[in-house]
Amino acid sequence: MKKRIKTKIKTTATPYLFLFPCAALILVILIYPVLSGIINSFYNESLIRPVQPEFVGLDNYKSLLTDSMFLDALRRSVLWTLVILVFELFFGLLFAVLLNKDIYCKKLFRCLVLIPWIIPNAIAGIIWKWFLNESFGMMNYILKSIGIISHNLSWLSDEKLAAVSVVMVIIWKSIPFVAITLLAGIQAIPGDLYEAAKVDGARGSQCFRFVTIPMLKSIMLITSILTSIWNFNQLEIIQVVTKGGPGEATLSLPVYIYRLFMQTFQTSYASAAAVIMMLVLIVPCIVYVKKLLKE
Amino acid sequence: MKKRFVSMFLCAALSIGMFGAMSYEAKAEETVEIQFLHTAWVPAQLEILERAIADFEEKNPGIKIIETRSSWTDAPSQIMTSIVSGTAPDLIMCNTSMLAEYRGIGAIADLSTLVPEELINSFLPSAKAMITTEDGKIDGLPQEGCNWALFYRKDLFEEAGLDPNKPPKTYDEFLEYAKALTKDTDGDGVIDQYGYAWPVQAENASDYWVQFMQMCGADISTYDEGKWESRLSDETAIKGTQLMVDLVQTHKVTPDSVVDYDWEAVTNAFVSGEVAMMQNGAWVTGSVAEKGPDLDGKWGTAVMFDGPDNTVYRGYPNTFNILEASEHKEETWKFLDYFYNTPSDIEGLTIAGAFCNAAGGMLYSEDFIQYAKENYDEKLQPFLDEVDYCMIPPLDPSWQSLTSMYGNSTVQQMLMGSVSVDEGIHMLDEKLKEFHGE
Repeated sequence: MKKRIKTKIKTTATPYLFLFPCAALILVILIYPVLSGIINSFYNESLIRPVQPEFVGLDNYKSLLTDSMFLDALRRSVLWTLVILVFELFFGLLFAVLLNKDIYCKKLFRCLVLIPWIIPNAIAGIIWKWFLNESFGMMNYILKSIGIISHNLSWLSDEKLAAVSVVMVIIWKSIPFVAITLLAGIQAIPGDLYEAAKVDGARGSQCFRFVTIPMLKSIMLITSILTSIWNFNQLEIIQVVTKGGPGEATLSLPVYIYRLFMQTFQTSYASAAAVIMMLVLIVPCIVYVKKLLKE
Repeated sequence: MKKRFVSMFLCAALSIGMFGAMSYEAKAEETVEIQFLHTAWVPAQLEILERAIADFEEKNPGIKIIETRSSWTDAPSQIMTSIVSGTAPDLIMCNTSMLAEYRGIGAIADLSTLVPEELINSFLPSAKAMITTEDGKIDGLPQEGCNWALFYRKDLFEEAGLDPNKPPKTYDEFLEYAKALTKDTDGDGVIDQYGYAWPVQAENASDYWVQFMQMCGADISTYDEGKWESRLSDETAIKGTQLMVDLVQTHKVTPDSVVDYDWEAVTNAFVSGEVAMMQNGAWVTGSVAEKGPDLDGKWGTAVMFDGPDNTVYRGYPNTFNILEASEHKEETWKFLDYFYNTPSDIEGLTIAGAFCNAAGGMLYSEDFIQYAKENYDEKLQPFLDEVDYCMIPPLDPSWQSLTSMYGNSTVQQMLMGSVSVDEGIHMLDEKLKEFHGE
């Protein structure tokens, strides 16, 4: 009897023991900083002010809600995430469908499509910064060569074009992940479904609309949620390409928080902004987790 | 038997470990460890620094210098967080913004009683200004730094009918030249050569804006009775900012794309002939020569033109500072004292800095200037001519926060015309007052 209880305890405890190091690590490097950040957001700590931080309740949050720079950055980040999502899904699906076809050098193209995703964000930013340079950039050279523009465009020094440029770079960076994930989804669709649709007289486009798209819905949702979270959090590319400028044209929420925290050392105010950012991101996270649990 | 052997082995290992730890502790008690965080990265400079450390350690066996290398990008937050968390190094290298911030929170040790008068007097005025606090205390020693001057294209001057040997000296002359140099060279109706540019998106972008304001006599931020006060809404500050914005918006002698120029982009524009005059640092003389070998003899440098009300040259050294939290201030000072009194190190740094190599090194001492004047070429002469009159940016502890959070972007907006000078400068004035708690 005693032995059986001992074995039972051992069996029950073993998995937890294995999980413990990982859980402890998550607790230390993830949960603790998040909790510490949340607590800090209720104080008025600023590293360049030599006074003891005081508890200020929701003051930082109230200030943020009237801070036009913060609100603009938040609005910009949400809008960009949605725009990027639409384009990455469109192009991602297009590439996925093309790469699923029996084209020449299919494997090579599948590898090539991954390149933007493989390149580190900072390197990609530097490449695009030069590519979009008004005077020496390849972008203007190419557009002029094919007669689309007659004079160089200020891709990074015009407020509207700079925003377009940054969004374009992030879309370019996101497409490979979407394409490869959707390609995997397409390959998992049973061939019988297409055969049945063809027997029923469906044309190619109808097969795509009534078989491929519905079958990809689930994977598309998960991909959209994941890439939206990543894109909303995008810091490196913007920091390297425009540093949030010109003016505040490309100042996204992560860049705003980075400036607050790392350059002006307003740690409590930055923590409050980060908490709001976390709350915004929690919405897609809940959808994602629900979806996973459902499956 | 096996079990006993294992336990005996473990006991022995533990005992050896304990004795080892004790003897290490005893040794650590004897040796003072100085944590030195620096941002030197040029191999020749590093070599000098390391040799100096090795020599010092050999002569002072009880002191060990532990180096931590960082970069100018990472060091500010790295040091600030270490100060707050109580793990600050003993000795650091600072630039102007770091110095102002750390000084503002009382993190830098007062060295007034340690630095000899003679040594202070050997430094240039801007270096003395950097190491002297608002209360007149000495809290650091200057090390290599840089200053900025005017670069101009002699060939484009000639094409525009200007004398290539007479760069502008006054602001009116400068504006006249800049207008003459701004033109549509290929006749397609679009301006493709501009008179003047500067790095608006550089790491130290606000320094250029400060210079325009100082040219009109602005104080920017003043220290009075223990408090900093914003003077950004003064007429002089507004006038200086307007002067800068007018170059893009009214006179159109500076391209709109200047808002995207860092020091390298403006250098490229200068080399390609898109910009005929630029303000840039001494190290750029090397970059121009490297990027445009065909331009040999077609470009020159000059002392910065005078402002409408003031002559303002930009230039300042970075500094060595001992932190207040250091428990080994005396030993750390001993190292600095050794370093500054070892001619081979100072001379070594002079050579390693090579005045205008990648680091743009210039030692802010009279001896160095004398040495440099005798050993360097004509392109560097204007930089040397400026050094005695260089001004430093405001050492207001909140200035860096203002510029990195709001200043740089607002300056860009004013240059693009999306925010008026009046609106922009008043907003910045309010923000600076907020930071000060005025």
